[in-house]
This record gives sequence, structure tokens and C-alpha cells, in this order.
Amino acid sequence: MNAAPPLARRRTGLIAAGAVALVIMLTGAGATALVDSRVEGLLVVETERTLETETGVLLDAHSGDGAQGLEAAVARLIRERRDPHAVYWLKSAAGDRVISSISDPPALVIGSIRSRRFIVWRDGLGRSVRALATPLPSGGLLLVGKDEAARSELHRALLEAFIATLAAVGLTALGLGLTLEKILRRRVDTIAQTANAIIDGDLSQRVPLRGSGDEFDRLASVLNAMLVRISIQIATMRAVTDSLAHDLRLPLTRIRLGLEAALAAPDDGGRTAALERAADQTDDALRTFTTLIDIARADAGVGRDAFGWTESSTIIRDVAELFGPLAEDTGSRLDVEAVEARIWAQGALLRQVLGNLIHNAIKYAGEAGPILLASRITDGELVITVSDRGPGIAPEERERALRPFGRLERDGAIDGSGLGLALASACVRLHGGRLFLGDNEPGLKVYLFLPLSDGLPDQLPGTG
Amino acid sequence: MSRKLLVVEDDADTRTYIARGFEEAGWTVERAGDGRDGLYLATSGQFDAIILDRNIPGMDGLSMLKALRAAGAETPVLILSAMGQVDERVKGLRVGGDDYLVKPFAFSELHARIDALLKRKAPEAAEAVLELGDLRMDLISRHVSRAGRPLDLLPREFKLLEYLLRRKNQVVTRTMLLEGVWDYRFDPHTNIIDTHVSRLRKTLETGFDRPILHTLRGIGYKLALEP
Repeated sequence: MNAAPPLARRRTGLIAAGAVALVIMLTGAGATALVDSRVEGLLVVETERTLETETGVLLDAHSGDGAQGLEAAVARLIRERRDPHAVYWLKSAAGDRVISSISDPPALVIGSIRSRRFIVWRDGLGRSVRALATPLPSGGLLLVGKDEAARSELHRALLEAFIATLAAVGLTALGLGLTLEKILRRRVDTIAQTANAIIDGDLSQRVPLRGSGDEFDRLASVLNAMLVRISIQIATMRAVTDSLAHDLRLPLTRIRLGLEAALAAPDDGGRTAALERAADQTDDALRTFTTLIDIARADAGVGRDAFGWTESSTIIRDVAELFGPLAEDTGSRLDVEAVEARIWAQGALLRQVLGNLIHNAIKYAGEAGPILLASRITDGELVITVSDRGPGIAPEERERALRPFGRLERDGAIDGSGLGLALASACVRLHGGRLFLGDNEPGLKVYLFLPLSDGLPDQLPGTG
Repeated sequence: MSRKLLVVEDDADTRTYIARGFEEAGWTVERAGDGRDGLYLATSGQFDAIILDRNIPGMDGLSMLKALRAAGAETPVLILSAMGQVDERVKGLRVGGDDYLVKPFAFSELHARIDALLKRKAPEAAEAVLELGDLRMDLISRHVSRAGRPLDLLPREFKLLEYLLRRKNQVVTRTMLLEGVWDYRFDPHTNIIDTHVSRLRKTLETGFDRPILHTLRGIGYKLALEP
């Protein structure tokens, strides 16, 4: 595995993790603020209810035992101090005596109280105090209240909880983000490593699959399929360039020698014959050249714009009619068994491919028995076969026979470019099909699998 | 009256080679080296045929042809091209080419095709019977006879003979037959056409004194009373 890349290159993962953490934290802050305000409202209601109850108890004492009973009750409460936040303040009717647990509230607050109501003020220590003010029938004033230190404590507790939660959530999000980033990076690194190996020239590398069928596996298999396709094209190109040296230089050399011989020959029949030979050899070289271009074009997918709906049996019969006499001339026969099937194809190219294959069959196996050109429909595909009774091709040589210039050793004596099967194979690929060589027991059986029109998507004519 | 030909081709050697060949055959030939000159000449002169290279500077061959057809000129045009693939051919014929010949080519092939183009442009009456000397082909009853004697032809032999009869006294090349009769646009790498023609010849000539289907060595065939 690669060492972790420097921080700068890991930025994407970090930014993602940070963003997630931030969003979670903001959501948390909002939720906490909402809770805080709701709790405060409830707290006020609760406090006021308590104050009302307590005031009621004290007033009962007042009505029973008079002003003195009330004073005694308040004094006892202050003395006992059961609730550290409780606040009591009692002014006698004459205004001369005050029993109080706190400093006097501001005159502004208490001066105007004519009826029982809640008041809020700030005491000498800066604490906010909420109290129920009750004017006494005797003319005095009773305040029963609570300082709001309790509320500040609650605020603090909430804030602490919020910060703790936030820290936990933030760290978790960051951790998750980093882990995710690491996983992604590992998968991407695998692909990148393969790509790097390919850049370094090893085209046989493939992206390893984990077999999980997830998005990365899908991406990997698509990439691998692409690599296979490119490999085939490059192999073809390589075979072509390798062979150009030999297969085109050779005929050109022959032509040159022939022309030199013609120049040297006396100006009679000898010169004409030499020139004719040179012209024939030129044609051979041109033919090879043309076929190479055809293969390269088919492999590159060029020419699909000339595709059309084509009746395959017409093509098969036309080609058979063209080549039939040739088979008969070699003492053989060309039989045809074709089913009707419309295909999306370049008819002319298909004619050429079938013509090549039949010509090969006649050339290599014509004397061995009849040749059969047949078509049938199997599993939604049109299968065209060209079968002969000749020597066939050994299984281990079949792959090579499909490559450009992949002529078999034993055919050295027979004229041919060694491109026919390669062209056929490339053309069938262009049609979205495949070609393979089989055994006719005895003889060679060439299979051409072509997609049927029914199986094709409607939009296909617009593609390519 | 001498026939007029326009050759639009940028390669001077090829241009001269084509022009000389046709001049020797009695044609008057005008030459252009690029598309603009070609279009100017083609629209201003009265030509019987135009030979147009596809790959020319100034304005490529197909654009020139499109412009020519848009201007209403119906002069038969043969496109010359190094691009011989079917799709390229289709493109050429789609913009208004009448024939398409792939480089390199033999002059005899080019000449035969230009002759065929001129004949094709001549209004072809909806003939019911094609005749040459004592050879008679009834296109409706599909009956063929020579000197009144019926000849038995396979469907494809009938088509081959029809193609030759429509071009009687003209040179017809092997590729013209492959394209015209079998719709096969590739070199079949064999003398397969010779086989078909010699079979037809056997049917046409066996039992008759005068040969009627002649082979022109290295060029093609000619259906005619005199070679």
C-alpha cells in the first residue's frame, strides 16, 4: 500500500469531514438554544406557582394570628433558611418595621403596588429576584420571592452539556470523515496504481475486483473492459506495423527488382512480361494495404454511419451466387441454407467478409468436399457459418489465425495476404458481433455471431 | 462534335495522365487544380462529364460537388478518391456523385466508367426489349433468344446479360460488373468474373458462328457485333 499522501492532497476528505462536523454542531447549538428558552418559560411558571402557594400559607398565618403571627412566621422562615434562594420581605402597616432576608427592594418597584402581583428586580448583589408582592389588609406589604441563581445554574449546566456533546459529535464526524476518506482513497489508489502501471507501459494490468459488486467494482469492470478493447486495438496495430515492414516491403522490393529487370531486358516480349509481373505485384501490395486500412477502420469503429437494415439471407444468396462457379471450377460445390433475418449492418462489408471466407474455403479446402454457407437464429443472434471439409485449423492455432498476418506455416505455398480472417473478425466486431473458428470434423467451421435487429434498442440507428 | 471533360485534380501528374488519356481518345479536356477553380469552370462551361478528386485544396471535392448540384448543374460527375470504404463511397454518391472510383485506378477503368456515365445520362427509354444483332432479350417475359433460338439463362446470368446489353458496344470492366450485377464493391481476389462471363459466353455463342461477347485483355469485356 502507498504511504499516506501529504495533508495537502488529503484536503478533499478533511474538508468533507469538517463540513459535516460544522453542520452537526450548528444543528446542536440551535437545538440547545430552543431547549433553553422552553425550559426557562416552564421554570418561571413553576416558580410563580411555588411563590403563590407559599404566600397563601403565610397569609393564613396572618389572618389567624394577626400581624404578629405573620411577622413571626416570616422571621422563622428567614432564620431556618431552608431554601438558600428564597427571599422574604415584610413591611408593617406603619412602615416602621421591616423583616427581611435581603436588602430593601428599590422604592420605585414597591412604591406603586396596590394589588397582588409579580415583580422582578435586581438586588444589591446584582442577582435577579422574582417575587409575589401582596399588599396586606392592615396596610403592610409582603414579598415572597426567589432569586434566579437557580436559572443561571441551569443555563450553565445546559451550556456545559452542549459543549461536551458538541465536542463529541465534532470529533466523531471528523473521525468518520477521515475514515471514509481513507476507504475511498484506498479504492481510488488501487485504480490509480493500475493506471500508473499502464502509463509505464504494462498494458496487461487490470484493476482488481473485490467481488462486492459495489460502485467501485462496477467502475473497475468497465475500466477493465475498456482496457481489453484497447489491448486488442494495440495488438492489431502492433501486428500491422510489425508486418508492414515485411509484407509490404517484400512486394515492393519484388516490384523494384522486376522493374530493374524490365529496364535491363531487351525491348521485346521479355520487357512486357516483366512489366506485367511488376503491375500484378503492385496490385497485390495495394490489396494488402487496402485490407490493412479496412481492418484498422473496422477496429476503430469507423463506418457505422453507413449501416442500415439489411436482409441477411439476400446477402448470403448473392455471395453464394457470385462464388458458386468458382467452387464448381475446383470440383467442389457451394451449398446454401439461409434463414430470413434482418440485421443492422453494412451490407457491402458483410458481402466482402462472406466472400473472403468462402474464397478461403474454396482455396484451402475446395477439393476436399462441398462447402456449406448457412445461417440460423440461436438465442436471439444470427449465426452464419462457413464450413468446409479441408484440413481445418488446430485449436491452438486458431487465435493466431485471426490475427493480421497470422498465416499458418503450412499455407506458405498458397497465395494469400493472411489478412482475410483478421478482416472478417474486425468487421464482425464492428457489427457488435463476434467470430470464432470451430471444428467441422473434419474441416474448418467459421462462426459469425451477429446481433438480430429485434434485440437492438430503437435508438441504435442514431448512434455511431 | 468532340466531347468535353473537366478534370479537377490537384496532383499534376495524375491530372496530366488523365487529361492526356482522354485527349488521345478524342475528348476536349479542361483542367483545374483546386476546388474553387473547379467550381468556376464547372458552372461556366458546358461539360459532358466531370472527373473530381475528393481531396483537393481550396474547397474539398464533396463541397464543390454539393455547390455544383445546388447551382442546378446536372453534369455527370465521377468522384476519384483514395478513400474506398463503403461509407466514404456512400457519402460521395449522396452529395450528387454519379460514380465513385478508388485510387489507384487503371485508365481503362476510368475511361469505361466515364463512357458508361454518358450513356446513363442519355434518357433511357423504358424499353421492353433489348437487342443486339440477332440477340434479343424480352424484359417482360424474361425470354432470351439468339437468331430465334431460345437461350436458357439462370436469373443472375439474365441480369449479367441485361447489364451488358444496356451497355452494348461499350467497354465494361470487371469491377463495373461486380458492382452492377452482384452489388459487390470489393476486389474478390479471384478471376470469378471471368468464370461468370465465360459461362454466359458459352450459352450465347455455342452453336453460333459469330462471337458476340468479347474479352479485352487487361481491361474488361464488350458485348458487340465487332470486337
